[in-house]
Amino acid sequence: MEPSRGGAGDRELMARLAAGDREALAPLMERHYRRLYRIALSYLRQPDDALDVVQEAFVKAFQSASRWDGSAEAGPWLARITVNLAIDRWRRNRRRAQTFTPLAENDHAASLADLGPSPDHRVQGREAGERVAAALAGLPERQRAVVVLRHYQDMSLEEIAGALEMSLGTVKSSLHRALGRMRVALAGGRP
Amino acid sequence: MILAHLLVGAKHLLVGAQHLRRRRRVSLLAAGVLEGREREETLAHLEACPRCRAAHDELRAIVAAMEHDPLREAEPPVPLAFLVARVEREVERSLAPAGRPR
Repeated sequence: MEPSRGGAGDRELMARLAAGDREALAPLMERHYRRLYRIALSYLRQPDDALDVVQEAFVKAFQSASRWDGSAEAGPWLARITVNLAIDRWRRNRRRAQTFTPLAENDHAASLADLGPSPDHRVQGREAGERVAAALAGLPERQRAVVVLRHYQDMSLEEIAGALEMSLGTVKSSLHRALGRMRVALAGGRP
Repeated sequence: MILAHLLVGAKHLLVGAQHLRRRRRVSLLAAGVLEGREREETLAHLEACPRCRAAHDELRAIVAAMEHDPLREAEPPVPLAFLVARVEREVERSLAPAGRPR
């Protein structure tokens, strides 16, 4: 996770939001919107959807600010709202069948080998990223959220547990299962 | 006879549980979150076990691909001021009294 840029500033802004001061929205957004956008984008992989989620997250933050625990950091609280909204959006998109195109059958066998070094690093990196993104898209919602927060946001297991309201043990199990599923998916079903 | 079967079954369960615990540690090592004694033990195990080492290398490749994904540094496609205006509009709307008489 990004280093905190002053918890006191966040707390003051959250207190103002809780008191109904809409002027506090812009500075709070300035501090957090990039990180929240990247969380939503890593989960949804659609810029428009990610932007909608960030918008909804700040509206919800304003509406829920009076229930915010004043001793907590605002960053993880905002991350939790964003992840939950991203999961909701993902469900809605899936219902509308607007999800990822699955990997082509013959893409599977060489997938894990193709994640290794290549002379054309940029192309290799992009293609590997797309294959991994497809494997990520096949994970159950909560496992996907754990992987996104760990490997796209560099959050610690404790921070993930807080953001997803899970126990530390559940976060560890979810991460293990998720990476195992991705490995199987990228190897074409070979365990 | 029955006792022998039970003992063999218990041994299989124990080996299975140990294998699952090792595999979990291998995943957590690849994810960069295994620490202390568990990390040292798992690294030592990888030296001795080609199957677990291969699994670890494959998981590391997946993790590396995610950690090099350009999405991690993506910038929002609109300026902050635009997003702030959208949020303020939505907040305004949510505060408007419902069922206003026409």
